[in-house]
Amino acid sequence: MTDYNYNNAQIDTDTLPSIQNIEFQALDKSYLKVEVIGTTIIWLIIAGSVNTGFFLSNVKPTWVPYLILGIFTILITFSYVVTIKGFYRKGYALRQLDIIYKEGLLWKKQSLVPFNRIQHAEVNQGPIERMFDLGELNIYTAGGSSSDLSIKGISKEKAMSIKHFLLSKTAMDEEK
Amino acid sequence: MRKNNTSFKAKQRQSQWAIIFIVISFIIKFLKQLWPILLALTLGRGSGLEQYEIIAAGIGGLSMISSILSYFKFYFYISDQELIIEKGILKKVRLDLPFDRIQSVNFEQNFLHQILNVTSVEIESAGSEQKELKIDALKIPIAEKLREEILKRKEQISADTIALESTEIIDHATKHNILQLDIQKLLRVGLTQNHLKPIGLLFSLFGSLFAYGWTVDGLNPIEMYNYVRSVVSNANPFAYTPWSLLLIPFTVLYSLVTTVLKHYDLDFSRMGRRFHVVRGLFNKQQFSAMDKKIQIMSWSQNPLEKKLGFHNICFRQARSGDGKKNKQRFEIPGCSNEHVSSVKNAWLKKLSQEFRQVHTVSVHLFKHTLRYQLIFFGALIILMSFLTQWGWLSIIVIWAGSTIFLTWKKYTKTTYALNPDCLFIGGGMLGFKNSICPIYKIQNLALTQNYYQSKRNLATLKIYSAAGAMNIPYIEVDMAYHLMNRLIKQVEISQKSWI
Repeated sequence: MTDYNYNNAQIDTDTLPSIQNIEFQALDKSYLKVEVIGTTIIWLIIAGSVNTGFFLSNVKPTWVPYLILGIFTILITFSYVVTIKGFYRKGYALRQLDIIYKEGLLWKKQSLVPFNRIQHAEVNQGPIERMFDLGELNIYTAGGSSSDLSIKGISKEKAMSIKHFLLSKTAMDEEK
Repeated sequence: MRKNNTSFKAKQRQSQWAIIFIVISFIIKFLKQLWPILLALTLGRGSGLEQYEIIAAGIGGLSMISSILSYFKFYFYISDQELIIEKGILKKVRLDLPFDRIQSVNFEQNFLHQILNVTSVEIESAGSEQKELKIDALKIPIAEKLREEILKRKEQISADTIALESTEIIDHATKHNILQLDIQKLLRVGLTQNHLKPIGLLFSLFGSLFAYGWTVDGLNPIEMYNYVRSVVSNANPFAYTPWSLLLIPFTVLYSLVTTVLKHYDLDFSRMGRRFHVVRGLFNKQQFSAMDKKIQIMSWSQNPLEKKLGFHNICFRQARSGDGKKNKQRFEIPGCSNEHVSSVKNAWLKKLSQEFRQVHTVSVHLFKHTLRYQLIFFGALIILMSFLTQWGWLSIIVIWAGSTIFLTWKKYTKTTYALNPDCLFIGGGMLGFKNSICPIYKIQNLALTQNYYQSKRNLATLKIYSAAGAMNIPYIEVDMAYHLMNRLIKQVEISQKSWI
């Protein structure tokens, strides 16, 4: 136990390695296309069901459909702006002992998972992601589903190699 | 095969009474899932009803048979290293639980168990492959033997590893009493419970009935507006005041009864490295919580408890099984100040509990919430003035005032503190609720900022443990990063196992 070689043990808290000034790695550019396609599909589904709803039911005040159409236009524009601008806010960083992921435009979030708390990691690939050869890296801890870290939009190869790196780190942890 | 051999080496079945519990739990599950259909069938008119009834009875009968079969296919036994359960009718399932993974063996007896003199046994485990085993009914002496056998073997295995780690000698068998509640004290504890809880229950019941009525009638904004208008203008809010006073005895009685039922004959004690709890009138529970498995400890006091000097201790344990909530979190009411500190000392052992400085959070926690409250109540007040409903207006002003007051209290009670070993978070509104968590039990961290916070250079730090999350809301971004760096360093250099 004494041979554990963490070199920072005695360092003053003011000189701790800080997360604040970290350089994040951007996601794969093609993931922006995946996100735009995803948003479009969702809106098509919503528009389809709303239309069917109108078709089936007889809405009484005739101005209601126009009002809904107006609201929808605003919502759709907003969601595309958030999707595109939000894409450039996402990024991840690997440090010696932990992995950090940041995201969010209006609601920003930076999550940090130490390697020695990772329970397992997996790489997934959705149908649209497969077209662009992208992968999704999911990292699980015992902290519950709301805290699990998910990095979408990196090449599948990269996702796999990060996963192997993480698992080798956690395996080392267990040996000690 | 069912001969009682006390070593549990041979395959054993449960007590025959288990059939009853399997059937009952099946019926409950069946009713829970299918009650809307059953209700529709009983209330439904028209032809074809008999067919449905036959189908329903068929499904019911088949499932009944399968429950009985599942009793005969359920075996448990002990091997050298693990506890094994075999079950399943068509698909055979074998669950192996190594002794060193077992966290605790808990008993629970509901009313029927008590009559039949049997108990259900739950075996909690932990680790990366979390699972939970349950035996529906065992005769009490057999259940106790089983627990003894499991704990004995578990300690044999862990004794070797613990001996390497420390020279500390632990007495696993002796029971140290912490708190016992007799009926008198229990009634006083009952009087100090949160009497607003049953009101919330009533409201949600009426609310769901109301919402149900609306969905049945179909949602029409104009009709809704007319309806609200008619309710508001026809009803005199002060006419309800006597009725709401009538609610008070009801809610006090409700909390008295639920407290007595749940905590009857409470015996809270410490044995070795775990806390042990026995309690309950109709539903008798017996369970223990290992120090390792407890992740967060809280102690709280509401204004009524403060008057009588009672504290409520709450333990939050790491999740086990399929995310089931039962006993993950348990509360011990009626504790004194001394109980709180002795329990804290026992759990934290050598970890430091002293905090040099307790920090407050930014006043924006209050201001941000206030902003939404002003919009909401402002709109209501304007609406009521517009409708010239002065009675309702005064009620809303009182409602708004008390809500804003509580938000302010919440802000003043929110604090946090940190030392090299532990994280402390203070909270509450009229009373207080303090929590403490050893830093090495933290799983991961997140820093979040909403738009309001970004503009003001503030952030919320979320601390995730295996027993749920804790928040430090609305602190300076620099401070949040500083805390994050400090906490994460402790987690990363820690060699202690969080469970």
